[in-house]
Amino acid sequence: MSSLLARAVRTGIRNPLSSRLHQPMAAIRFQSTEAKAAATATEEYDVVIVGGGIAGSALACALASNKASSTLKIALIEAFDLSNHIKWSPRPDQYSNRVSSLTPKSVAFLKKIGVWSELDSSRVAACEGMQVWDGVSGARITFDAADVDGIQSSFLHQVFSGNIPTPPGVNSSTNQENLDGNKEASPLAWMTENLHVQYGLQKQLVGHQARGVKLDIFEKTKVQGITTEQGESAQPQGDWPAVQLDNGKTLVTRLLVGADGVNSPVRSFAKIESLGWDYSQFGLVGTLQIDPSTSTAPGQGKGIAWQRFLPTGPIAMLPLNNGYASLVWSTTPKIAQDLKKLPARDFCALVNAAFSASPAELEYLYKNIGPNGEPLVDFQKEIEWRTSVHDQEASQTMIRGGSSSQGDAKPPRVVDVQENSRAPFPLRMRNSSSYVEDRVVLVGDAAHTVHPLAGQGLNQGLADVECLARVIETSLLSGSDIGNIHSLTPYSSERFLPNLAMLGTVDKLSKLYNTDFGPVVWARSLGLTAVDKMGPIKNEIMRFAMGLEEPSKRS
Amino acid sequence: MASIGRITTRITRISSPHHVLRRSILQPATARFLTTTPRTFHSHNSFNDTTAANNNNNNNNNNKEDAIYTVNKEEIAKFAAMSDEWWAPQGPFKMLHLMNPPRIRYIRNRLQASGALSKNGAFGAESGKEEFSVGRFPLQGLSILDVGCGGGLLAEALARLGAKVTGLDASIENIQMARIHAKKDPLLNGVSAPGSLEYRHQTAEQLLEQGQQFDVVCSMEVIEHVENPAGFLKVLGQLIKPEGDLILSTISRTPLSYFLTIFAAEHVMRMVPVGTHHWSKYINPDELHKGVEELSKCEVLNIQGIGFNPLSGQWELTRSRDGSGSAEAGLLGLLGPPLAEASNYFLAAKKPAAATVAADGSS
Repeated sequence: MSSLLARAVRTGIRNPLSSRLHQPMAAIRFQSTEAKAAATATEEYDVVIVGGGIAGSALACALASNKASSTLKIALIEAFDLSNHIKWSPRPDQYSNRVSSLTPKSVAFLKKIGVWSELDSSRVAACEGMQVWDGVSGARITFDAADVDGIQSSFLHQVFSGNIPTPPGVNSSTNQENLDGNKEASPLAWMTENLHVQYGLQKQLVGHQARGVKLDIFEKTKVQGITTEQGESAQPQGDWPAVQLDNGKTLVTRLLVGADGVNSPVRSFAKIESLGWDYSQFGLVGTLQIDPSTSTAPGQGKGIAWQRFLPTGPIAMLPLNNGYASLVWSTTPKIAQDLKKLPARDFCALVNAAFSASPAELEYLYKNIGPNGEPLVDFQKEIEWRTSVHDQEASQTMIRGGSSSQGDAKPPRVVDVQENSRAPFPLRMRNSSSYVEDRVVLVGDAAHTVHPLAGQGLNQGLADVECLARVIETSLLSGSDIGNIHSLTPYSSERFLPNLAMLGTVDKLSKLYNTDFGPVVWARSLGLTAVDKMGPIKNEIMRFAMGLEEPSKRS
Repeated sequence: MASIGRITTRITRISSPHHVLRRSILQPATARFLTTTPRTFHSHNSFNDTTAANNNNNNNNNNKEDAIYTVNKEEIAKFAAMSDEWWAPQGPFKMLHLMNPPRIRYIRNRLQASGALSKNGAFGAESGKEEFSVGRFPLQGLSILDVGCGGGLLAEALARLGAKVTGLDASIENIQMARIHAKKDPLLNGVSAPGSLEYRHQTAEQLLEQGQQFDVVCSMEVIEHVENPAGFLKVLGQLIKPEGDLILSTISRTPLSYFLTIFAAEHVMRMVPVGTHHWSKYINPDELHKGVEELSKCEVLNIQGIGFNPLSGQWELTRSRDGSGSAEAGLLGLLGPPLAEASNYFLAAKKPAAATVAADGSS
């Protein structure tokens, strides 16, 4: 009150002093038009985030948890019901089919914004090792968390992470946290359900609202259109994007964030091109029940992610707790559809085969799936017979794959698949031609979509959000308009190249492995075996995949 | 497509300054052509001679002999013609836009060092934390005068940080542009946030006649455009409250600055329009130091260089003379004086308490 009064007095004094200058009067006039605009349900925001997925919610959370940016007025718009996430209370024997591997960098960020501590540790599985091998040749590479040298500075990281210096005093704490995380051999990644992360995010967001952060969540609300009002009749903030919602409200915003996925309406509004292609591949996800005792890996393969490259695409099994695992199987659209329809027993037999049988054998099995998903042969028996033959011929087969295959660890046997957990989706690669325009910024899948073979999509999105929140804070502390293109450019320059590098690498890997053409198989096997033998390079690859590229450089 | 364009410009920038630096080292002949004769503010005669010739009809509104020559008519016209471009992100003032965040950083750092921020108690009130960097409105409670505010790039930022800002410019076009732009941001209307912003089409001397004084007076990249730097410094000093702060920035008169700000920025890269700068009007740090102490009657506390890092595409502060301002990340943070101050640099000074000023004035 007193400050308002003081301001009124000040204005009163200022007016006569500058009576020949029309500016203060004009300002008052604008105030009144603004008041009229409010009557037609137009509201002003500093940040409007379209899309309440993990990236969008994490951004809201990051802004709200930072002292400077928590003073912003923020809106989060989501077409679905977000409050459902808070009520999330899964049974211990049920896992959602959408599971992500979170890199140490992502985990450090989730810790910083208070989300990690909200999670149920019994539903987070540490991934301590990775076994990746070539289905055609058998060449193998193993990654172990203990291999990663956290202190070593690295060339690759400097190449990929760009040279953007971070402003002082802003993110030093983040880096410190990351560094601290590196000192001991941390797991390569943590596996958890996307719904679980959403649960933590929504809990935090509600907490921020309760402590007075101006954060409005518009759930079950769709964006009907986005415009920029121009011309005489426009509001003072003529160049601010106006977001029309289906509840009749219009949100005028200083900064519009597109966290609205692959087909981002915000990206279309900003006329930003999305470049890329659809792979003629589908991914099939599912929740598997496994028998850990059947794995020959140390510790019964606990915490090991398994990935085998097949000519049709990679198949991966990611560890969850309590004898469960998450499946991501990239394959042709037809096989993906067939796999979804197969009875559970036959499906499991086929998954086991996909981790052990030869591509030719798999080809035969795929062909024996009937038009309605019924198996035309007894998959179980067929595979058992083939395995016994395979074991006899093993020594001959191994010659092609190199000498080390003899002691290769076997993944655990899949014994069941959770009902209704199988879902196919098309695989794409996209990168926006730009991540920023004046007053518009894209994060996560709206900015880029990656083949899921390396499990980096969500991590890239979280890295975007971490960077954008930091850039917004820096702008606030230097008095800049956070929607101005110059305020946003550091985000773009920091994220564009690493994302492009990740997209390119994963795309090349995918193309490299989607073939059984002899020379390519020979060359890639030689490469894989060689990389497995070369400590420093393997180290680099792992650190990059773990999202550790940046902190070490700045230490 | 837009981003491709941006990347290309970055790449060209990466190659050029090395190029420029190399040239300046390898071609002493060109450097010799730019004779660096020392310049003092005591040669009032020469300043006045030229200004009198140029400003015959420019002093109608002014009474004070000493104060009428600080504005240069041609310079005003030059910037007025570009006024529409002030806020175009990729326009001729792009480099100035990019320079704004480090400018603000410098101002905040210096104000904190001089105690101007702690005395208003604007930060840390909520949580008891003394970390000023986390407060959203660190400049709350301070009155700041921005002399030569142009389109209001710096003035808006200062107001967003909570200051009561008065922006001054001798060009009515600039002031109009600044006013129009400020209306676009509700944070600047003085109602929804603590900061306020007022633009005046006046000269510093006219404002002085009205008897106003400010907690902080800043004038960024202006003194190299004024007609009479000596008179300008004197007026600025008088506009500061006792124990208030003066923050200036300008460009050194060195071969390096010629290549960076005129040869490279104007002619080769076309980052700023040709004719923006006059090398002969540049002022070296020691000259400015002396001028501020003798004419503005302020104690110089800090001089710190700033340079454009083509790799990051950002301006970065260099190491300052006393080492106090070295807390800056980035490549150029490694650079110390004198090279660090060989082009763009800042100067921070503090006006003594009232009694001391009076004593000085009488002596």
